[in-house]
Amino acid sequence: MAEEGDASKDRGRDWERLQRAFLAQCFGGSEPASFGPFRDLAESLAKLMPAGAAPGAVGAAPWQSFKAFADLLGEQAGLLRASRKRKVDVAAAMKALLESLMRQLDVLIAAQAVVAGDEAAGLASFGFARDFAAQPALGLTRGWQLRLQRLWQAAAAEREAAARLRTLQWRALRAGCEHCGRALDAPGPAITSLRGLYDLFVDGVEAAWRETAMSEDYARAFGASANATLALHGALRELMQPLAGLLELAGRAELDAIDRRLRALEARVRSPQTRPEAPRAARPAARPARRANATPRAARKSAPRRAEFDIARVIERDESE
Amino acid sequence: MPAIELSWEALSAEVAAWEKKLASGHASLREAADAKPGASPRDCVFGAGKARLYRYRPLREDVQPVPTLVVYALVNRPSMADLERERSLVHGLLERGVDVHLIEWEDPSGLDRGRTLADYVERDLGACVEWLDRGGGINLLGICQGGTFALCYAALNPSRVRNLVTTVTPVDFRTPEDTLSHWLRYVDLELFGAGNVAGDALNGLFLTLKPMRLMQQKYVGLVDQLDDPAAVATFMRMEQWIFDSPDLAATALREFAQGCYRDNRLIKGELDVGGRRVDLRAIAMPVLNVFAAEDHLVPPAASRALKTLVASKDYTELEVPGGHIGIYVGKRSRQLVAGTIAEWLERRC
Repeated sequence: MAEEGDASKDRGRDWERLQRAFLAQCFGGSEPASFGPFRDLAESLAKLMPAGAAPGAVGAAPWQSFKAFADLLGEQAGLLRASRKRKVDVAAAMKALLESLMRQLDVLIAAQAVVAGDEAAGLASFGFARDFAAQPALGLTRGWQLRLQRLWQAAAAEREAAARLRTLQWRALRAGCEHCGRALDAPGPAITSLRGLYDLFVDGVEAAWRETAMSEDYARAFGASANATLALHGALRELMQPLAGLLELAGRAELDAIDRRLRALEARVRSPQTRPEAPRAARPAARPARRANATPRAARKSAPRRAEFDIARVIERDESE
Repeated sequence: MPAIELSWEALSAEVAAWEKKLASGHASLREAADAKPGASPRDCVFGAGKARLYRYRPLREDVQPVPTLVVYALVNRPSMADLERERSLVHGLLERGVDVHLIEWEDPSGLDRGRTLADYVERDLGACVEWLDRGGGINLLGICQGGTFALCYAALNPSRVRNLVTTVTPVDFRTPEDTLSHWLRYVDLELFGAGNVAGDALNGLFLTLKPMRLMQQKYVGLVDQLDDPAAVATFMRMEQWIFDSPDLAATALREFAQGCYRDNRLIKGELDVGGRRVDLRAIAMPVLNVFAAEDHLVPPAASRALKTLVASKDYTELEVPGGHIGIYVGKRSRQLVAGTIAEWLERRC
């Protein structure tokens, strides 16, 4: 039974890994780019609370952060007790917890610098394509190689920009811990519950986050990261468009062409020159002097506002011009 | 120092009670899993472009003679205005005799990437107003970005709008508290034009405005309510509403972000909608401007700016305690907002 459970857990992990790999392949880079930099903070926070960046923590229900907070507090109390060999109160454990979180954040911040510099990792998930793209773009496959190279560069740039943004987010969390520590030392109403303590921590992080979010540094990093993500999308689109063409699937270019065509037709339909002479549809009655009753205006529902217009004739005319 | 009057025994007891509540509350979460927003019966009466016009069935015989059209934002869906009976702005208005109509925007497809602000404001909203107007104009009630649309439409077509109500509507997009505006400063908005923007990406952005509160603390708070099935159902309806976000048409989003957030053209009278400049001084009809005191998306100052920009001599402001969404779905604030709007309209219809 236990083995079955373990196997099921492994399958779950495999599935998660496969999903992430699939999304990475589809979107480029190591993260699903549809969330891009916006999702990073959510993941970061979720990882932080349970046990310091534990893999799989992201999938935990968000309310578990409360239990995780309690567990971490207890863990710190245990560590303090072991070192001092005496009774430890909740306040001391809370301070120790904040210090521990800050130490973990320092490690994560340092790690981000490494990630930012790891250009090769930018396209790790593209495997075979990496070697191909690294060759000089010559001959029959020149176009494909160039597109792959651009994708590679865009992925590396996105990774670097996202890492810079994440670094600021981690720093904001660190500042949040400091903020919470100061709040513990400031005069205020007594905290009589674990929930009160948890809320104090959340308040501290949010206050620090607000300062970071409104800083010039963050605005620049956010802009750079968003731009890099959008550029990566563009590079991926550039690669996919000819692939769609090979499979005779409509791509962005075809959709844009249809859109332009429809807009031109609509403009023609709406222009006074092409609009046929037609009597205006019966307008609803003038506003009554008194309150209307609540009878649904069924007649208005069915009454066409404009005469039916034969779009086929306009298209035909448009084709011939 | 705020004394921590908490023993390890009390802490353990609290965690145990919390876990017990969580375990027993899973049933109510499952039961409420399918709870969906939307309480008031309505009929689709007209459609134009990406707009579907609904009329809510009146609750009284003596409805106001001038129809009121609710214009919602392109972000999220308007079901928030009718979340459930006790938390429904729409229901509150219907109870008071307002003839409520609402535009629901259809999701943009890949083909709609090129839809412009003019398509939404002048063509779709315009067609709905034209359809509703029995002469003398209608009442427009805009919510958030829908309020900005309503302002644009009213400024461009003042004779069509008899009374204008804006709620949590951004007007000045560069106020000091405006985080979104600050974050957009260095984004290359031209890149937005490449493809529709995923609703999930926008949601992610909004969540990071208050990451700990919106991604964790909110759910911790949910556990406290798990023994109250009605509260859980309300929570799930809100979740359904929050995370059911349509994608945004690329061009319209780029125009809005560039014209409003980046260049703040609305307050300068320079916003271009379909080749026409939006001059808020053309708004001379009565205006009611409602905003939320603790709004983290549209700071009160962003809405208050309207006062000095319109020519209306009948301008009323209402600051409501609560947040961006709370003023519509909070039981008390909903009564205040619906009551004020209905009464204000009643005096002017």
